[in-house]
Amino acid sequence: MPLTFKSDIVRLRYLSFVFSLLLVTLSAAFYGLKNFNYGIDFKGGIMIEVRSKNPIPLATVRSYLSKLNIGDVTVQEFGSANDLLIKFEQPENGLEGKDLVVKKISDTFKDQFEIRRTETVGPKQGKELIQNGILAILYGLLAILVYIWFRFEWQFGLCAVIALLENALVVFGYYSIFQVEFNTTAIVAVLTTIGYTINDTVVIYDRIRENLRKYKRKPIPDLINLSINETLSRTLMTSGTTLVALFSLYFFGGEVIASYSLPIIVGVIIGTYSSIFIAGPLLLNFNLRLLQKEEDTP
Amino acid sequence: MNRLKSKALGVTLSLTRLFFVIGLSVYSILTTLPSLLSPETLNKYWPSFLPQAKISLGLDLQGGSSLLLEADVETVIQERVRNLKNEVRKVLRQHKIRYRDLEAKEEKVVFQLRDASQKEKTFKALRKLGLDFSVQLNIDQIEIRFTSAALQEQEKVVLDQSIEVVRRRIDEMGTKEPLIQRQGTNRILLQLPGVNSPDDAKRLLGKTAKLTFHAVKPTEGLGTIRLNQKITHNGQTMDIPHILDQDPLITGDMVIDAKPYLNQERNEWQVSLSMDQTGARIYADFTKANVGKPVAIVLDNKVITAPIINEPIPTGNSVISGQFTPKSSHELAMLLRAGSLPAPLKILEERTVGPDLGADSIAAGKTATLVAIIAVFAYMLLYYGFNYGGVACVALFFNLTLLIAGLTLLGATLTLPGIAGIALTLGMAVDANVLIFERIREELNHTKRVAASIQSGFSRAISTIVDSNLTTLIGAGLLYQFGTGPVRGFAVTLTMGILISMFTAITLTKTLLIIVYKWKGPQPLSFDMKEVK
Repeated sequence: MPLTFKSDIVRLRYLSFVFSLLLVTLSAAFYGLKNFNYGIDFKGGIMIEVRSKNPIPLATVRSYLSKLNIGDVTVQEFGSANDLLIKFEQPENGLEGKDLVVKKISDTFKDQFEIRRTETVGPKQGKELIQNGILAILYGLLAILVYIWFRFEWQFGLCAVIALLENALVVFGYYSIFQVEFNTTAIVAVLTTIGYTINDTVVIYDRIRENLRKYKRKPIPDLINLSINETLSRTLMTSGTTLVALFSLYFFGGEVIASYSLPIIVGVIIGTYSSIFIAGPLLLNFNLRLLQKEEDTP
Repeated sequence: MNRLKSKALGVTLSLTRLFFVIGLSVYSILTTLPSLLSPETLNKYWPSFLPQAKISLGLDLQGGSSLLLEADVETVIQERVRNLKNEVRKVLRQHKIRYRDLEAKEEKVVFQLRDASQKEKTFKALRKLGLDFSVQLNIDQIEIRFTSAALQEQEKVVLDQSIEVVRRRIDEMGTKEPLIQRQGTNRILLQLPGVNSPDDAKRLLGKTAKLTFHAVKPTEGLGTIRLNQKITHNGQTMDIPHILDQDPLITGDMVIDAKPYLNQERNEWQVSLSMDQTGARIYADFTKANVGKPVAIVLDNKVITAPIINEPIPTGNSVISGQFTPKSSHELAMLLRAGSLPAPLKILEERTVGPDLGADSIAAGKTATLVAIIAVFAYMLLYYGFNYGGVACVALFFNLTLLIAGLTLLGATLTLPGIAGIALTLGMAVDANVLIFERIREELNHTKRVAASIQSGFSRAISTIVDSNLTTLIGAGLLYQFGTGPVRGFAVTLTMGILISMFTAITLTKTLLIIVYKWKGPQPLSFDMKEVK
């Protein structure tokens, strides 16, 4: 049962461009309104994961904690009702304050809770992590631009990066819209998505380049359409297996791995869309025949 | 095309290639198994001539604490600049150069000349300070500062020393296999596997343990500092303000041994010190000349004791008392043995994972990877049929074993995100096979000749595979460059996964395709193609 599609993706381009623009605008708007829900990696702060023998109502824990007078505390369930994630911002006396708070908590809940994990990040470290994360993404886009420019032509590089940028912005938008905790995982998700999408895009561009040599007289829109369609079954097949793997991670990999895989799932879906509907059709805005002629003259 | 046809690939499976592929596959399985088997099974049934190494697990999987420490290099530099000021003063006096407003300002020492004509002479004199300094005239102010090379060198020395001291202190704690790693110019990453509460480590590392002995002077004068603590002696607080000589007699680096010691007479814990030759000589001379006077023992800017010298001490042995508990005397002795930190350490980040959570994570990761691999197997078999799908599955299986074997051999650390990386690459690893199969299918649509289609489809797909994967590698490389800890673990498995899937696509998949072809004859790639030659 081979996937054979003959869809006129190029003709749909205005629709897909508008759709993408909408997604990006929506992402930006939500970022403007709600910003990110920064995790302690970036904001600095303390996180404690505890497991209780019996489910304890969140409200009980919250009211206990509020009596400790340790500032703003977030308590949430982590996977099951027996696992809780307790988070609070940096106490005023910095990292040393953490031990005090952990002690207070373990004293209060001595018999109920087993502390499974604690993380403390200073605010300075957090800023650096954000900076490095953003740098990594920017360098990633730049390196990809240069690589594709080198292997193909600058027009290809530019279109690929535009599609990737859309891809990255929408994944960031996902974090903002759903207020999913934004931490180093987010950077991993975005970079993995970019890496995955560029893989898809290059396969399509590779075919376009090949077809440019093969069909000298075919109108460019038809040529791009043909190339996308020829690679479509591969694109969907690979996205399929990747998503299958990611979903098994999401459902069976435990809470922490699930938090890694969900954004990547979103990213792979968006990425597959943008490599098909954006990266290819965008090339129409450049005169590819010109490139073809250049290639012909030795 | 003719050439390809006549060279029907059924005959071109070289033995070398076959043996290479089989050998590598067997080796990868043998290298992978120790990591998957339980220690007991391994002891009982695993022959000793086979690979023994297990994949090393990150702290998030085996449990333990990780601390990111920052050495306060700035303080050290400032101290050095203050010393430089004293040096400069000496030089200027020596050469009878008249100056005013001599100051240590952050990273430089500045002063002004009273007599502008002494400029040349000043420069010449200051040059003798050494190559580590640059001397500049800024309007009418002379600036002496460390060259950037010297500053970098200082930073490096401070961090090297800090790492050394941290290592000695942690070793004393008896932690198994701690990891102590330089990070950037002024940071140290400390990982303590199996340590669930890093409080002890933090307390030990929180102390610089700078020990000095100072003469105590009755009056305030030049070169003295006043420490705010009152001196306690034999449990009694002396309330006369004491002035400690700024220049220490004995410093911690002269201490060669330190032991906790229970003074039976006074029933109190003390720490006994022995000094090296230089220290012993200085101490002997000093105690001889100052019988009846106190000597202050200062630890981290606090006077901990100031015993009155009863008699000259020629041996270089001394005792520190100061209301110690057995534990604190042991700790102080240990700190003194390990040496003082050149700069205070600050904790930037602290992460602790309990062993249960680690074990849970491994179990969940294993399940997830297993489910992922079975799901992808089913998907491939369903889509490409038994022959080609089977090839993809075998390739995928060896992808996984090669990946784990590779990580084990490289000594890379497997982290939780690393497991995510493995499962993700399993999904992506079939991409190379998919690209090859799709190409073969296209070729089949044109020629219907399987051998030729496999040959040309394969070679056409390779360039696409290389191009598309290299770009993904760029992303993985950046993740490694900019990521820390777990993110790096993810980047490592992703990179290896991609490299290995490229490798298996080129060697393994091709070999398998040839084997299937030889074994079963030409096979259609999809169900709607019944006729192939």
